[in-house]
Amino acid sequence: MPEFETKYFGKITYQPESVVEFPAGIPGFEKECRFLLIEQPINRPLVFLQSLASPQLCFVTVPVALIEPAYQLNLSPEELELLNLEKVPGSAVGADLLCLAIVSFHEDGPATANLLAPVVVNWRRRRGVQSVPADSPYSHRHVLFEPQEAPCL
Amino acid sequence: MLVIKRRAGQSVLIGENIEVHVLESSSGRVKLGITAPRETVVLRKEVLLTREQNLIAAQGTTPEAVKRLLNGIQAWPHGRQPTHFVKNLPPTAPPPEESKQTD
Repeated sequence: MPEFETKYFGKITYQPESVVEFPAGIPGFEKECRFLLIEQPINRPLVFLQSLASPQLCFVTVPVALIEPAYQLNLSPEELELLNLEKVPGSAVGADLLCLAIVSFHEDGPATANLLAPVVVNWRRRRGVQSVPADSPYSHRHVLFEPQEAPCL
Repeated sequence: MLVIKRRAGQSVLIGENIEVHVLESSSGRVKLGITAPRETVVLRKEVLLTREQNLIAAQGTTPEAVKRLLNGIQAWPHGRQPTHFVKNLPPTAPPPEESKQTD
C-alpha cells in the first residue's frame, strides 16, 4: 500500500482506491486534483480531505447533513458530468454520494462551514467536485457554534 | 454604483476591452455574454466567495483548532453517529496514537 505524509496524521498508508479525483480541482486550488478522504473513528464526524500533491494541504470537513438535515443539493449538468453521475435521485445524499462542508477557522470569530458550496463525492466512481450553485439559500460562512462570550463593546 | 437599464441584444462596455452583452432576459434572470481579454478573470460572485473561504480553510487550521471543533460537534445530538451520512468510506490506516490504543 502506498505511503503518504499528511498534515495531521503523520505518515499514513492508504488504499489506492481511497483516492478521489477532482477533475476541476476546487476554487483556489485548481491544480489539486487528487485527494484522500480520511475518516477515523476517533475523529468522527470529521472527514479530512488531504491533498495527495501537497502534504500541507488538508481541508477539514463536516458532513452537510449533520449541520443541515434538510439540505438540498442542486448540481448543475456540468457538475453531474464531472461526477460521472447521470442524474441525482430526490434524496441525493446517500451511500454513494458524500456531501461535505469545508470548515474555515477564523482568528476573530467562530468556525464557519461553507454550506453554499459543498464538496460532493461520487464514491462509486471516486470522483469529486466542489459544487457552487447559482441560486443557493445557504451561506458560504455558516456559523457552526454560537459565540460563547458576548463581544466586547 | 452605476445603474444602467439594458434590453436583450444591447450591451455595455467596461474600459476598452470588455463588453457585456445582454443575450436574454426572462423571469428574473438575465443571460449575459462577456467579451474580454484572455487574461481577464471572469467569475461568478459565489465562486469568488468559495475561493476565498477555501484559501482561509487551507491556512487557518491547527491541530488545536480541529480538536476544539471536534469537541463542539460531538456535543451535537447526532455528533457521534455520523456513519449514516458517511457510509462506505474504506478504512484508512490509523494514525500512530490510535494504533497504540487498539492494543
